[in-house]
Amino acid sequence: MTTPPMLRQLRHDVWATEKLVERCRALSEEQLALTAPGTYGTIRRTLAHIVRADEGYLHGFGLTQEPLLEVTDAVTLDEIGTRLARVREAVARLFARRDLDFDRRMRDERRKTDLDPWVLVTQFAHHGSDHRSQINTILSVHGLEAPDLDVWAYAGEEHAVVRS
Amino acid sequence: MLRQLRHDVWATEKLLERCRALTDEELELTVPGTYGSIRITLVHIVAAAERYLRRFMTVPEPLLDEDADADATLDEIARHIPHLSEGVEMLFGGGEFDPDRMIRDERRKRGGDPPLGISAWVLVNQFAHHGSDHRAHIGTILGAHGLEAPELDVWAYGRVNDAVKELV
Repeated sequence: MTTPPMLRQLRHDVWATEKLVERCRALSEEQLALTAPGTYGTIRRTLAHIVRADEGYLHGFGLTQEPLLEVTDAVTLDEIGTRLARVREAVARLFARRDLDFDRRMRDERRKTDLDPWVLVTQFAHHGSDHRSQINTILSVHGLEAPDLDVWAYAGEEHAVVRS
Repeated sequence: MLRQLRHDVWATEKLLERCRALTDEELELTVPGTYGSIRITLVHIVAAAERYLRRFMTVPEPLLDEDADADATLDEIARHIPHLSEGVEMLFGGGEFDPDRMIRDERRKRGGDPPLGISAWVLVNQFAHHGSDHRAHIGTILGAHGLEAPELDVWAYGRVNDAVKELV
């Protein structure tokens, strides 16, 4: 059975955030508080922001519950990782729905908005790539190794790219 | 998936438009930890997108190239944008896109590299991820130098396309 490419996109997104969280476990508390001009903020807050936003997009489909992850200087990588595991499960449940229709207008009560659901899943993937890029910039600026998070790396693990 | 790629091309086009207000000196700005200058990053985004598409279809030659076109003007870069928008529509237009089709890629960047077999989904997923990743670099460069960065997310795209309506 064919896997929808949009599901692949979100799986990659969650995989990349998980990989980045794992990379950040090797950082000290001081390093997690690093930032760079032109980015969202510290590494810790940016990671929390990515995962909170993911929860928010999925909340629009009724797949996560409030309160969403709080973006604070005290949030731990364990808390972020726990929430991210729930995000991964919720993505799977979303695409398992038989009545899934990304063009059927819906109401998002939390945002007080009517929207086409494709906006939520498209923004999910864009938003993750955008902010992970900022964290990799922060790591590089400070001479710290940035992990390879692109779809080529993901595809390698999925055996979807082979030398022939 | 088509929406994801449409958003990607829209965002790159919008960023190009924003960059038209920059001076030549500002286009050469960069910050550590990003791909390079604003100009070469724009070239890279569009050149890579053409390379993803040419694995599926014929893209008008010559493709944009980071080495040959490192000094490309914004007009020269923008001339390649229709190749992307038309290619994306063509890819999904027939409703026959098979994400699991294995594509044999013989045109490698380095001549001696062996051909690659690539699942089709990898190319379209990387297309979208790559654009967001590098536009973020340009957003960081603009922000770090006190220059306004445009709104390029899917909320902005959704509002333009009447797909998001705030309740009053």
